[in-house]
Amino acid sequence: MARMKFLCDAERCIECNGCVTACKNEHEVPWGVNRRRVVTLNDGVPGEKSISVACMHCSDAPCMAVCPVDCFYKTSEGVVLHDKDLCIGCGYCFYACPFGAPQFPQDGAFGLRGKMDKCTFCAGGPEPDNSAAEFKKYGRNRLAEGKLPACAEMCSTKALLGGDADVIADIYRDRVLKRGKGSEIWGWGTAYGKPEERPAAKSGDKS
Amino acid sequence: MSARRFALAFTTGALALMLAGCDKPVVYKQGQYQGKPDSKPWDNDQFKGNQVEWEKSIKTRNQGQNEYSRAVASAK
Repeated sequence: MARMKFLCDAERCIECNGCVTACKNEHEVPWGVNRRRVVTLNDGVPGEKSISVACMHCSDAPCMAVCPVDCFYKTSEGVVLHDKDLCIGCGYCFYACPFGAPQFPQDGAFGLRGKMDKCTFCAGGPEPDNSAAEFKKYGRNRLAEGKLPACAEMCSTKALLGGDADVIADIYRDRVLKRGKGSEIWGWGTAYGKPEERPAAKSGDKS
Repeated sequence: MSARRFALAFTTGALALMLAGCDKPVVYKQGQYQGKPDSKPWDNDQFKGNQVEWEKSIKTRNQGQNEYSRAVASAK
């Protein structure tokens, strides 16, 4: 069973915002709501880096943990979805999310906070697949059409990868090794330290 | 039962209970995920419940993101 994830390659992202546009167009997301956005670090400075951010569909999602009405659920593909009929728009999920994924449409004279809206990994919601009700509340259900999220499939430089975590991790690893740099940020060395940085063991020391 | 044996049994039981909550797979039953009504992505008119066909479609699209394999395929 696939476990769906996004992965953004900061070496490739050119801040074109194609993913943002694709998402807004695909789901007809209302004005003021951005399910996906591009964040640039050191903007304007040579060597700036951009990454595309949306809901990361966490394995242990904090939004699910804090929701007082338990409106979230996770599918067997690892996609974190929510039921807008249960959502009360309290905003706890927004405070809990480290990626700022939950969005709240503002409406009315006093900027009333509506029900939460977020990236669905193009998997719709609880309504019947590809129904008008599902599209209106959650946008298009591309996963039920056998397709991957529009943002990832639209990405011109393929910086944003989306799909089965194992497969996209393999694609990314292969890419990093082929381009000949960046392998130092991948794998054992990053997790456990590089051998050259460790203090040399004295002879006779026990390992 | 001695106090020591009771403490050991209690600790073992508590550990077993705590570990039981680790890495729980998502359970899907009667058209519901964790109490929310939703269908599986292959349970629709297009795939007609054929999970294998759906996974094949997703796999093809997954590999479509790998331009190294696409370049090799198009060169053949």
